Amino acid sequence: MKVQSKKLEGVVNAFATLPGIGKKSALRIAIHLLADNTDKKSIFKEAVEALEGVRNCSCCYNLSDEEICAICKDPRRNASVVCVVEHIQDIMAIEETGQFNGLYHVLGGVISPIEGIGPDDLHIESLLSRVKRGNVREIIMAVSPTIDGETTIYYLSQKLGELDVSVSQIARGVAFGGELQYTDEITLGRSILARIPYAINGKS
Amino acid sequence: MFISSIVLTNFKSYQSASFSFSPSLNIIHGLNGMGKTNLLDAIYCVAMTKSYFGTSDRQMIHDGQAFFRLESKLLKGDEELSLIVKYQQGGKKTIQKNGNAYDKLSEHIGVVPVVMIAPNDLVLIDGLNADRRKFVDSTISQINHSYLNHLVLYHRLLKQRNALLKRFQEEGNFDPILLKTYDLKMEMPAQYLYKVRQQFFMEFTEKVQQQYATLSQRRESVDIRYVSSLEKGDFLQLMQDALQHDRYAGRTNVGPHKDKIECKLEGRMAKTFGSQGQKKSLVFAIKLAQYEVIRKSMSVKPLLLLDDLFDKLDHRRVDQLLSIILKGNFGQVFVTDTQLDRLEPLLMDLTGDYVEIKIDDLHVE
Ligand SMILES: [Zn+2]
Repeated sequence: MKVQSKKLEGVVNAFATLPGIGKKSALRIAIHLLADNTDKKSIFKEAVEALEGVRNCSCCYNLSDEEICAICKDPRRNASVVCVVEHIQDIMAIEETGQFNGLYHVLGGVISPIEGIGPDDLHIESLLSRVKRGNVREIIMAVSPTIDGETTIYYLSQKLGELDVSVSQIARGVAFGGELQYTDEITLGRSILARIPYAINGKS
Repeated sequence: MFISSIVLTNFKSYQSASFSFSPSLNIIHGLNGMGKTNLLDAIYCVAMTKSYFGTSDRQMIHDGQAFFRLESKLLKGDEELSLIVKYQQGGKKTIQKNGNAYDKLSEHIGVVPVVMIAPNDLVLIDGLNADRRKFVDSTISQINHSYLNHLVLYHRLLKQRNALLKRFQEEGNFDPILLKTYDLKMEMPAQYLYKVRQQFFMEFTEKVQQQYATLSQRRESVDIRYVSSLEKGDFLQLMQDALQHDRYAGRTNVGPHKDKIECKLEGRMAKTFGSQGQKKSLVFAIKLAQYEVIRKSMSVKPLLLLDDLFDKLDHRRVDQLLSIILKGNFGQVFVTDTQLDRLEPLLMDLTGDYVEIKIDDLHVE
């Protein structure tokens, strides 16, 4: 497929970098927008520009329009329980279950030296200082039970072991093969309620 | 258990071919060089999800094509199995058992037990410890699924630990808690691999000795010894002791990935002191012992694939090996040979049925 306009080609290439969008879909979207004579183009332009205003909550790294996100700000939520997740999407998945009333902390991934991701590349230090500030009584690990996820939980637990906080892990045995966001909400909800204390080498 | 048919599409030298097999002996002959070996490799791939010869998935695709597909039918007891191996270039290889694809290919290991004997097996004697560990791992993995899971876990953690040590080296920093995390996580699979390998060799060495005694008219003693760093102590202690060395080298120096397997003849290393004939006998004994171990623990006769077994052997040895194969208590056997004429006189004595499969240019593009 050869596009005869350099400008159009640029737009197609830009759309094609989006997840789930191939070259063909990108071209279809671009041609659709080009032919459109309503104000769709400017709505899009403004919407994309508005993304600039979306930032990470300075406390939990959830997405937010303000310095502190709606969850962290909500006085009805239990600030003594913090659920640690890998990605922002995991918060959305857990919120869907309606089974969790605490706060969150987004790590931004898991430790993987092969991919050059160490503890400093994740929001680990900020989690530790959140705990050090007091208030937090329980940390729930809701990190996917992959080999690297387990290693990250283990590392965090050792770091948190020096502090006055209990660590638990969402219940296992519920089959979720990988990412939290793809788990159905009933299963995920149950696994949060049935969380178990995390043990380092048998010692709780 | 036996494989009754296989259809190859764009697999190695085959563009499209289908074969039916005898439940007992199958003789694959014909002049075409690679066709025979590739057919055995296709059967191996259906059983073990990959090439016996280390050919990558991509390289297994017939030149100029975009995918390969192997479709086979097996009978295991009363159970009919339909197995389809598919690989599309750039995609993920999948295996379907009776229409259902496995989540992980490793789940398929052990469903179709198999033993292959090929000319390059001399690496078991002449090669590195890594070659011998690979053989041991693939044998135990077929009979013990938990072993394979521990092996995968251990190697993933080891790779991460090595990458971490490299990173410390390059960046000139050190995080003892993170390194310790890997040690603690590796402890369980490391101890498990050590224990199971140890148990394996208790039985295996004896079986090799029995087989070698039957095979070799000479009376030399043979010994296979498993040597592990874990004999010297607890895994965590060993990791602690090796810490400075590891940091200096930028990789992990102790653990099951460094285990050794020593093959000795008359108390001397077979690699250095064995003659070509002794080595060949030893390889054959090792493979027959592998067959025995798998058969015994799974109560199923594995498929036996013999590639070019008789190559460069004199008549007396061919007779001897062939009578072992024909009179032995084997299930389905596949033999490739370029010279049918030397097998035919021996096959005349055979009471059971067998199938001759001629690979010619009709099968190969
Ligand atoms: Zn927040």
